Amino acid sequence: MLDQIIRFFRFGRQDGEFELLETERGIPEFWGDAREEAPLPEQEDTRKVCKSLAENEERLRISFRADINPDLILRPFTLGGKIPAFLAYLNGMADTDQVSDFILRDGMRPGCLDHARGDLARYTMENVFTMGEAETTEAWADVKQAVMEGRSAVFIETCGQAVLMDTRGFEHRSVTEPQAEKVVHGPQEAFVENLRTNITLLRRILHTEDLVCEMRGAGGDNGIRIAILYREGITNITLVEEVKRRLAQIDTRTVIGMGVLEQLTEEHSLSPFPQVLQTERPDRSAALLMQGHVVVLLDGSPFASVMPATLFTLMTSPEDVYMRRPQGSTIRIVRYIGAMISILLPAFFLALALYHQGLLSTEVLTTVIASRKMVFAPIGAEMIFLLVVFQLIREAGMRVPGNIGQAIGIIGGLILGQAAVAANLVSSVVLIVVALTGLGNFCIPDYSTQLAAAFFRLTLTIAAWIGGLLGVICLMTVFLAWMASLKSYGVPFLAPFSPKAHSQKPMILRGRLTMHQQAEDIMNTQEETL
Amino acid sequence: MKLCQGRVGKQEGANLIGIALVSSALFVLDIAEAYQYGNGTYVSFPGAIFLALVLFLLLAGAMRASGQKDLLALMDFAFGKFVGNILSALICVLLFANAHFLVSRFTTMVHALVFMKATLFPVILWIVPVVIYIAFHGFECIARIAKCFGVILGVCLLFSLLFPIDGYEAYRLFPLPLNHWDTIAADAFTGTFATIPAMLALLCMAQGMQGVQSAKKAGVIGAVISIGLVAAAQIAIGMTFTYTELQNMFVPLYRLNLKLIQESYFFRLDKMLLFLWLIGALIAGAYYLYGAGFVFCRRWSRYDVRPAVIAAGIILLCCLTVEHMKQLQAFQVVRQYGSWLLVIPFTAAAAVALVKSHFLKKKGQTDEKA
Amino acid sequence: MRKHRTRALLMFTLVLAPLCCGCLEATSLDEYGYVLTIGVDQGEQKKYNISFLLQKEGDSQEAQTGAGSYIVTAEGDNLFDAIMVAHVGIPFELNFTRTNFILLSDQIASSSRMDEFLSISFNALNLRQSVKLVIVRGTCAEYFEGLTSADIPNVAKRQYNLFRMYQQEGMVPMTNFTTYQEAVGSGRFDVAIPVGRLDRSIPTESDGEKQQMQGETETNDKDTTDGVKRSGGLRSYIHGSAVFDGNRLAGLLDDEDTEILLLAMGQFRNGHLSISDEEGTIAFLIKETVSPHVQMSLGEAPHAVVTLTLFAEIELDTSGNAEARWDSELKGQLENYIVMELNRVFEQCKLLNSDAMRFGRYACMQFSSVEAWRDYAWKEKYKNMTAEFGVTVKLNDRIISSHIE
Repeated sequence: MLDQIIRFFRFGRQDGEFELLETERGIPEFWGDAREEAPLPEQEDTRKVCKSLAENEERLRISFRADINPDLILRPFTLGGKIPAFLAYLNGMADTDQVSDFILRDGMRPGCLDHARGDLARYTMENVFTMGEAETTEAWADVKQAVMEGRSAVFIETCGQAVLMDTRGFEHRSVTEPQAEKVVHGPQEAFVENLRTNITLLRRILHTEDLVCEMRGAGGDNGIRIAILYREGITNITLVEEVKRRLAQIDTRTVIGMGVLEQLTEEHSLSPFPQVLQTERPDRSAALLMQGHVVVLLDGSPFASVMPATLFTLMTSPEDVYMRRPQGSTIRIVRYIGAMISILLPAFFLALALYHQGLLSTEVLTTVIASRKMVFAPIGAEMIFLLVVFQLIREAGMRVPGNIGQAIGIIGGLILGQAAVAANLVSSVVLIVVALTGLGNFCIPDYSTQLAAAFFRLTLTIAAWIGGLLGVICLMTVFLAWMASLKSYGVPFLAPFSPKAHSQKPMILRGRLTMHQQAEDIMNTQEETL
Repeated sequence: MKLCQGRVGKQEGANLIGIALVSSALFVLDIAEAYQYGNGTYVSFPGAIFLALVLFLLLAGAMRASGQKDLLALMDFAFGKFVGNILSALICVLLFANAHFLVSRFTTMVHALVFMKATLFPVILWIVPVVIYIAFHGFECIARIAKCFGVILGVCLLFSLLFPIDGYEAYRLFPLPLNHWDTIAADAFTGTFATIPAMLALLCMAQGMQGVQSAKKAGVIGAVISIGLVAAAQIAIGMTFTYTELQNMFVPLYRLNLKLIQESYFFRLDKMLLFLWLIGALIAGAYYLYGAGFVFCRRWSRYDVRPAVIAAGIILLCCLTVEHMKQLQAFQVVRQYGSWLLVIPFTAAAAVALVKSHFLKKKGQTDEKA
Repeated sequence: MRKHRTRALLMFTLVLAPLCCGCLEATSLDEYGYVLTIGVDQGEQKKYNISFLLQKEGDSQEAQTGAGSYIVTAEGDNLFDAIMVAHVGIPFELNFTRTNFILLSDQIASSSRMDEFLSISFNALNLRQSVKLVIVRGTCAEYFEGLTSADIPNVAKRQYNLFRMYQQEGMVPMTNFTTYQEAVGSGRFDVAIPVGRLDRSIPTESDGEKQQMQGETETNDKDTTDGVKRSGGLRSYIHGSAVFDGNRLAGLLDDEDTEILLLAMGQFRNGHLSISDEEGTIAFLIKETVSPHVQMSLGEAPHAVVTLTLFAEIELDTSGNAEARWDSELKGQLENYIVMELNRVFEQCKLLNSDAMRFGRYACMQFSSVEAWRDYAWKEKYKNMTAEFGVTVKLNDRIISSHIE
């Protein structure tokens, strides 16, 4: 039935009928042709490296479409002056200096094979090539993967194995300060798009031998790698297995960002709250790793996913731990008050204005009535309109770069608001309410949680419009029940408050740093059972 | 606390029981007949909770002695499957009845005190789906949301009793019904129809509470706190209104500020307090509804509890609609005889189980010796 | 997938339920007229002539010009009828959630029609039952006019501050509707309600305009504020109290008698008392910080022994030796004077059959059952009651304003 309704609104189109504007055969005719079936994704390649150099070269040319793809470099050379070999790498992905100095120069040196015995690939890896990271493989899939990552593959005639060496040297952004999680005190480093750099940033903070970094494919057809980091012997095994299980189940076309990975692995896809914490700060990720969390890094994404994440994790700012306790506690209280104001104030005001005028004092009543004298819209519509405009200004300010983005915030906030009041489109009291709401929204440190708050705010406002305080209370109870039933990788979302778990660290106030010696009870780390 | 285990802790259980008992005692038991002979409700209402606690402890002791994991198993152990089924059906019906009483009361309150211009049905349609939704998510969700609100509701109740403290006068409690102790005791006994089901439901779900001991502790803490709060509330009501006013008053707890002369903004927040109590009623109603569905499924259905909860919720909606169109006599019967139907069989069950387990232990020891 | 679809459908149904239920009758706050005070007078065509004092908001939020209040009156056999008539002439619905006072004319109160008027369901109008009651000598509409002025547009605040000031001065009791209902329903005491009066020698703002435009005024220069000439300020004022016998206005007490009544009730805060003798005039500020201690003995003629402890501060001493004379002379004089006044006011209340001193509260505490209390018939026994008052006045040190033994 649902399918039929959906089909009705699609005007009877079948799935897959939507066309690209441009195809490989050019711009389609006016009446359009049906889209060509896309080639099926390749089955996993189980071939092995050939002993024939020519065949290996041919396979590479076919796989990488060398006839039209000039990126693949196939450099034949003579190994030790005796045996034919060739080197394969992708232009721009490999560092050509390393290739020249440590592979070609060392490989072409006469006499380097004089004492060769046994497997040639292994001998050259151990005795000829002076690259820091090298391995041999006979799996063709590994060779392709390595070349695509920027490593170099050396094939040797009559040898059924290839030598893979880490010559990655593609251009990448250097480590800069965080964009979304700025702090005053604390490190000013953020993750970058390079996976190796990100792992290094974490290892610089965590000098523990139990820190494990497992690499695997992300599950997308684009072959991106992910790294799963945790502390072996500390982190709960069930948690690690669950993370691996969910990542292993990914089978999709593209995984290009951490947001995609998050949505593909989460359990409650309809929940506005995120079930993992996305952070661009290595120090924050390291601190959570020490607590027994699992961190997932994705090649090409400057964010790390930390799981599990509770509401209190999402509401914690990275700066909290760097501040002194009174200041930190005060700011956290203000943050929670700001979040509550952001979510509840518009709905509360609307409920009082429409249904429960007796709760407002006479002064406020007369002020609001005076401000609404010439406003044509009902107060509910006015509130929703302003909330939407606020979101528009916010989005516009984010999309427009640099100083112009700041100017849009000023223009939108001040001038537009003032002009709207003067033009009697909105009343000033409602404008103040929405402004306070906006300020409260920015108190929430996590961006995804800010968006969740926006969702709650809008629905509560509509509920207040329809049902007054009854609607607000009922919907708020529903949301809280939802949060109470939500779990992030098995950990209840409202833990350690509800259910109550042992935690000497206060949830809202900033606890003493000495308390942080123990891992959080909700993580149920293995050291508790030792 | 272990990951991935759907268990409920003691704090959650205590909060849940506290909310359920306070809501039922303050809002379901509060009827005009309670003030016919003067005001003894500050004894009879907490007394009803106390009697429920006594029965609860008896049953918990019997469960521990006999090694039964929950109340349903205890009933089977004491009386056998057939009688156990009858008692389970009784628990089911009484839990449902309590859900009905509580939600009905709050529907009437919200309609009469806040939305008097609208009809009743929209108010029902706001409240009942929320109760169903919370119950649908299961015992964990109900207990956790009770933990979220338990302390807040308790503190708000205490503050709402403290604000009008200037208006309390001891003479309003007089004349003390010193010649009516038997009536007070009878009222306390009759009131157990609203308090015992909450405690029994906790024992039915003892496995979700990580065992009988944990459930017992949570139940005792919740009940003791409830006794204190209910006694304080009824004393406050008694010191604000005389019994003649209470006989004709609807929800006196809502009107505690009315005797005060000095204005303060806090005195206009009685509607906010009403909605806070509504949250407590939603949680308690969901608890009762889930309990009814849970007992039904454990007994007669091998399937998930959630469809039973939805079915019970829809029946609740129909009952509420019918009741507010015309009086539903069946529920008056429950109010009259419910306490007898609860106290006698379950006391007997506890006694039989204790005796049986004692003899079985003895027999086991004798067999070992032999 | 199927599980998600079922859940989504269930959620959708639950969300749809409140939307299908119809309206909860939302009305925006700017579509109401807020009634601050209700005044009830004798009607000409109908039973009552009811006046509504409404708050008027300013022209805009920046400038509060135009803010103030205005009066709408309508006749009706009850409040609902009057509201229906009033609605015809105004472009909004009357909202009673901000109503703080109900004023009743002495005519209504003395003919036992207060009950009839106040027996309506306040719930239906969302009228708070803590609304305060005032008896007005004259008409309520006129009294309203005497309350309003352009300089203070917030009439509600003005009214409340006025009463609070009077109460702090120990001059008036404050009674609300719930207390009145308790008195009438429980029969344990009778209420004393403050009385509002008019000094017609003070011109209202409309009088001032008329004088400017037409050279005439509606003031009565012979009128006074309780026998004292005054000029400026509000025309309306509070003076004394009305004591009731059940639901009927039994009599009026002036402000001095009201102070004494409040002393006996335990609601007195502070007030002034002057003693003049050959040596000079001494004005005392009397404070009651402890409730009176009452010992009741019941029977056919109940007897109450009332002990009051008061604190006094010397505010004016033309003789110059009041402190020196305190123990030997003035203390006894003051105490005897207060006892005499208490006895006088008690007898006056008894004559009016009004238990305004609320002795019934103490009487009911001696019964152990509702039936026994009912059988005792307190109001009948009250007619034979006697009271013995004992007053102790302690002098506070002038500098530190407290008493040291």
